[in-house]
Amino acid sequence: MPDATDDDYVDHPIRSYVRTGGRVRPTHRLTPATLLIGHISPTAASAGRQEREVLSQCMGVISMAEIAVHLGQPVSVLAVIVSDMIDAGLIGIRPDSDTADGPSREILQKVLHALNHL
Amino acid sequence: MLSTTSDSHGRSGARGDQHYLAPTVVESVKILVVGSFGVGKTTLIGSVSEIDPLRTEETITQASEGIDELEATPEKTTTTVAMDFGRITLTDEIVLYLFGTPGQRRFWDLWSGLAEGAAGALVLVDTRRLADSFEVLDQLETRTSLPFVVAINQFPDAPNYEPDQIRKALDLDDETPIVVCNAKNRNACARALAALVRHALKTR
Repeated sequence: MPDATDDDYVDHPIRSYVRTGGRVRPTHRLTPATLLIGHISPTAASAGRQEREVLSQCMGVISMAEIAVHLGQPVSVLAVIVSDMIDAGLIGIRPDSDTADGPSREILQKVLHALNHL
Repeated sequence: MLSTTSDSHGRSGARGDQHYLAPTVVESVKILVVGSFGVGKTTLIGSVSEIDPLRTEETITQASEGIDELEATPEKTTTTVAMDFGRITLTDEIVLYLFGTPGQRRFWDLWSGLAEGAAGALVLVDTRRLADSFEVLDQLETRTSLPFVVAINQFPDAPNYEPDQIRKALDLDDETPIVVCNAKNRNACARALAALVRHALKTR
């Protein structure tokens, strides 16, 4: 796959601010490498259409970046939606995924060991 | 949706069945793969990733700031910034994400959010176009405190420089490791990533 160019731009019929209710900042730290898991079924009556779309991609452990790709949404837009879903108890964050301080020495040593045996 | 059924790397396991991570995975670690256009970032990611590289896009609306000619245009000009990424499940509990991103200044908004919490950056360099790497290295050194390793993606027709010559040409510190790496080779890519993690451990 070549690097992207500006020619790849495709406009979306629904503007991002419609999906996020005009808000631009999520209330939780959600990065492309944050791992999520859905807490309820995507068919649950309590979830709206947008929530169901997200939940349908979170039936196991998966990263924000992957959900964004599967839903065709930018990570920044998904972060606002997912933030609300966390507050509503629909979705959970794996708390040790992509922490702001970075991985501990212990984790890095495990990563190194695994890479050496890949 | 991931629908890949063939495994071009000849590894075992059906890649099409890997939408989700194992339920035991609790930690994600990320490494940035940076370098100029066409240097082989996505190739490297594809060589080690357990999924086919995926592409996510952000739209930056302020990209045209300071360009006066746009006053005549009613719509805001937008630039799409794409990032290719892949993942490797390293243990029952840890998954490594590799994010490929160009290091040019106009990608910085996206990149700076990514740099926070990253284990480090692997800087891919093409010896035929060494000057293309100056801005990437400058951005890493001045705008992040990320540990980084320079990986020479050895193209067949590229000149063969000694690491010392590369170090001098790129004005690198003595401490910055330089590794030679064929981005198409899974083992070579794993070794380059291991060199970066070893370096990151030293700087902590």
